Amino acid sequence: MRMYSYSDDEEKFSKLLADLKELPKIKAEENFEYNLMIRIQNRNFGNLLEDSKPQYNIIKFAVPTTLIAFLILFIIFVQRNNEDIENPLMSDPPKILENRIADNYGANLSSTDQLPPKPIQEKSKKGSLKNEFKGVNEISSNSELKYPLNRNRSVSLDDYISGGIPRNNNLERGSIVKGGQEDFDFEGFLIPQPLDYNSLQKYKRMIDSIKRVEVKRDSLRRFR
Amino acid sequence: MSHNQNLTELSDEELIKRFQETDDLEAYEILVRRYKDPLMNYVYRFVGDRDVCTDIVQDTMIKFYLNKDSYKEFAKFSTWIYTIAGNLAKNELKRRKRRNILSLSPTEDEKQIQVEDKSIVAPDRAADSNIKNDMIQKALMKIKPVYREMVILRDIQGLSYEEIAEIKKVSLGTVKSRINRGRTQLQKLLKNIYKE
Repeated sequence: MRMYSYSDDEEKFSKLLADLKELPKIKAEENFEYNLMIRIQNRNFGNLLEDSKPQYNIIKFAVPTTLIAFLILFIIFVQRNNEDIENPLMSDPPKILENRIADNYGANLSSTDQLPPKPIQEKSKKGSLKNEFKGVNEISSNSELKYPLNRNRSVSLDDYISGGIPRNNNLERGSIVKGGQEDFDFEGFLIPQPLDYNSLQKYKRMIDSIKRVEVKRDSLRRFR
Repeated sequence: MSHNQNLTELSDEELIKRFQETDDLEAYEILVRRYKDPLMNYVYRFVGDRDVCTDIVQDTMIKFYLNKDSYKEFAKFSTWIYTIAGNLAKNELKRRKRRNILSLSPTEDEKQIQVEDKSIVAPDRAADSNIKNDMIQKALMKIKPVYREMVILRDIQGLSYEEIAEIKKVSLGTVKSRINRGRTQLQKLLKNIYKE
């Protein structure tokens, strides 16, 4: 194997090398030394003194610093904007009041201790005496205006007492697991309980007595 | 007079030692006289501009004056001063490159190359020779600066490979390969002159 030799190149470039050697020599001006000595005597060194020292230019640092600052500010700005946008996955679903009222209403039918739903009670306190003694059907129709009840889940009390309409399928109760703006604590599945016929009769008697009182009151007013 | 004669007989290294130790300006002046022309030739071939070349060599001599103590005895004075001149010339090229990007001034190739010392060549052949020299200088300016400086130091200034390796602070192999590549590029650019 033949070794590569740079001396071979010199032969290859012989003409070029000869011409390069023959290039005219550039000489310094005659007053070169004189000018140099004057510069030295006058200490006119230009920026040669500065060149030897490492330069810590403010601009060199200012540009990257400004860029970094802008970047940080931009990140902060973007993060803030992201906070303002409500994440639909994190937010609570809208209140499903109708189901809750309807189900409460149905559930309350089973026990004698519990009173009708709170919103209706509060409204009746604020209203006139007349409103206080409205029939159950009337109240339910008013509340229907404010809270449109789900007819599939609502129960007509009279029909319920008389046993005219059977209760809806229990599977439909599933939607009460989550609803409304308040956090709903899941307490397990609702087990259907047997109807308490006596308590229903008791409520009916109370309502009938209210109606009777109302009729009496009206007749007294007319008499006056 | 005899004192001055003695100084001229001293080597470069002895003169700079003297200048370092005694601040003898005569020693400094002798070194300037010895190196001003080789440096002018080297810088001119590298930069291609006479006025700029004079400024660079002046600056080289002032740097030498100001930083005389940074020279260490174990190095050759010639390699040290060539290193200073080379660095200043490279800085000038960088500055010019930046300026050329921003300005619409003619590029290096469009500039007229200044060649001197015509008296050496006979008048009838001077024109041909000048054209050839101009072409060589233009070709030199077209090759990469890393190759250009090596070719100039070796083939125009006549420095040894070892000296060039010391000046450029690279290995001997790098010097040789760079010179070879520089010559190849140069020959390619001057193929009209050097027809094989």
